[in-house]
Amino acid sequence: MSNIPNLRIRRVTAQGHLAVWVALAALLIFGVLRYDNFASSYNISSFLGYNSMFILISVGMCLVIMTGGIDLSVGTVAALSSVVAAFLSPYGLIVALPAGAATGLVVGTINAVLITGLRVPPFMATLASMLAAKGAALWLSDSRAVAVDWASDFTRLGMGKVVGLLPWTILLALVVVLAAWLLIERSSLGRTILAIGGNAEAAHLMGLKTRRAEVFVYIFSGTCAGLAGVILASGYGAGQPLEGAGWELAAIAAVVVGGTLLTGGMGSVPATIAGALLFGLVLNLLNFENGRGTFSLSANWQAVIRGMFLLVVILLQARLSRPATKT
Amino acid sequence: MRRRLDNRLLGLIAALTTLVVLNVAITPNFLNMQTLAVNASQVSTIAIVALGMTLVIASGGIDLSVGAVMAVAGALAPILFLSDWALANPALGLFAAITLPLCVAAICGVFNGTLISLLGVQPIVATLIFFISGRGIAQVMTNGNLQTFNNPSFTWLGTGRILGLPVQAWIALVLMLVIAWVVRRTLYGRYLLAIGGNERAAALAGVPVTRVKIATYAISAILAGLAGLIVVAINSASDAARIGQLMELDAIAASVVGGAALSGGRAPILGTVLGAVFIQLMDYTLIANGIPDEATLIVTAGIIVIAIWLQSGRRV
Repeated sequence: MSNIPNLRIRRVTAQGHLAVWVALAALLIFGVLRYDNFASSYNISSFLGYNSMFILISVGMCLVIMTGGIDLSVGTVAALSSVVAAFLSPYGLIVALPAGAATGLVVGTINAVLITGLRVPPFMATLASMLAAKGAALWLSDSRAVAVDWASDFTRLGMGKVVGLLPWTILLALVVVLAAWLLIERSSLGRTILAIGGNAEAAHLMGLKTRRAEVFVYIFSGTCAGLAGVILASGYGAGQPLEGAGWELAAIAAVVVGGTLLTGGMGSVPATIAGALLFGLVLNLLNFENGRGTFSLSANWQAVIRGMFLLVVILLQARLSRPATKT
Repeated sequence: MRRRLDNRLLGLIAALTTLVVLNVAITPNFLNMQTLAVNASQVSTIAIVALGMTLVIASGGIDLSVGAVMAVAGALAPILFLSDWALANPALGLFAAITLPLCVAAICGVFNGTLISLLGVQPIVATLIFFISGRGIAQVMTNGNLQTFNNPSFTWLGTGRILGLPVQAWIALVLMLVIAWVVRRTLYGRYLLAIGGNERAAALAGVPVTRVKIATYAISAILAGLAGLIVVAINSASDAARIGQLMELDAIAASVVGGAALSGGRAPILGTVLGAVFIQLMDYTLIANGIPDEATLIVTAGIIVIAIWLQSGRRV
């Protein structure tokens, strides 16, 4: 393979990346200067712990979107896996964690079969599995939260901290992120994933194993969502069949904010994580602002502000990437 | 093209007939006016939203914001007719409570369409903005409160009957006929299908792509707004957190089961309404026979996959 297309990909995404890193840095500086406890270890660790779930589903979504696909099922898969993990929590983390991840893996495999085998468009295939996973989660749990077993070591994952500061969950998320990053940047599978999004037909004709790469991304995304579900159950003490609504859109938003186009073919894992953190940070800052009591924005405003935020980033992106992405 | 379309519609009609026959056989009290009215009132809102969704899908796009637009329109209407001014002028107040929310919905649609056609933002992303923030806006407007009211002339929209059928079912029927006529007989309809078939070719052939797309998203939003008003009228109450929740999924499912292709270029209007009826009847069958709610989700998922698989199989 010539490395000329490579260079182009890098140049185009570098512009998109810049916006998200600048915004992230600006918000962080703003937070540190304005709020006393913003940089406290408590805030940092609870922020990272909560957002590790979104980092996981965003990194899975990022790989799927790089191929030009989409995975709408991640939110309800996380809910389903949180229920499964909660049921198995008496057997300890050693059973519940793999079981939760396996739940996601199974749904991801179903997605992969529907999309690559039956040629159902990703949007519809994952829409269907989103409904099915939600139905399964409600069925298993009888539509109620499933309490975890506090006696086992299951809640250590979600509530424990390494050296009293960093939550275990963020380390788990970072390992997955690192693996995905190396995969995209260094492996032939990663190159194939980007090539499919660039031009699936051409990638296939060049002899790349496009089907294998597509199968991989949906299974990967499902597994990430499964892990997020385990964190959900472990961190909040219950399997939550009704949680996860709208997570898929939060993940898509993080990916888009990170400069990846939904048409695929380019994108960056770290920028996606920055996008996910950016959305979390907006909420975190809002909470602090409310805490100061100068003015109070109800929880209802959060959605409005997130939407406006997404709008601003999209408008910026439309300006930045327009000339380069005309195909 | 025409031939294949007919086949698909025949398949759907056959499936519907099977379902009806099955229900007559196993569901108690299936064949009475009450059952018909209940199902008709449930399916109408989905059908109305799905009609707009089908137009959007025919243009090659998608509209995730319909549920949020329903919430905005549904929250705005009671605010208007419960205001002091409207209580002083009931007739004018009612008029405003119906037209203003539809205008606001139209603005949302124009906003979506502008982002998509002028700035080149992908439809999923552009409509995601309202999906995330629209419901929040509705909740901010109502302060998150449930608004209850007693306004017979407004609730007629949701609970009135004409010839035994709910008013909203007649509205859905009329809309279906009008939109079917628009798609088949007007320039707009031709343009829409041309854009969905091949946007670049359409633009080069002189189709005003930007205007047609903005109009399409506006129509979808107005229909969603109307559905929001109907939902509020049915309940005599408006809860911004719940109006139109998951409606985007129902509407997309109805369109696709009805024969719309996500790649665009096809606008099966009768199919869309039948698709909505089919999904509703399937849910009703399961619930009326004591199968838990959760199972209906799984069945709906299966139906969507089968519908798409049948379509893609025939396209080859």
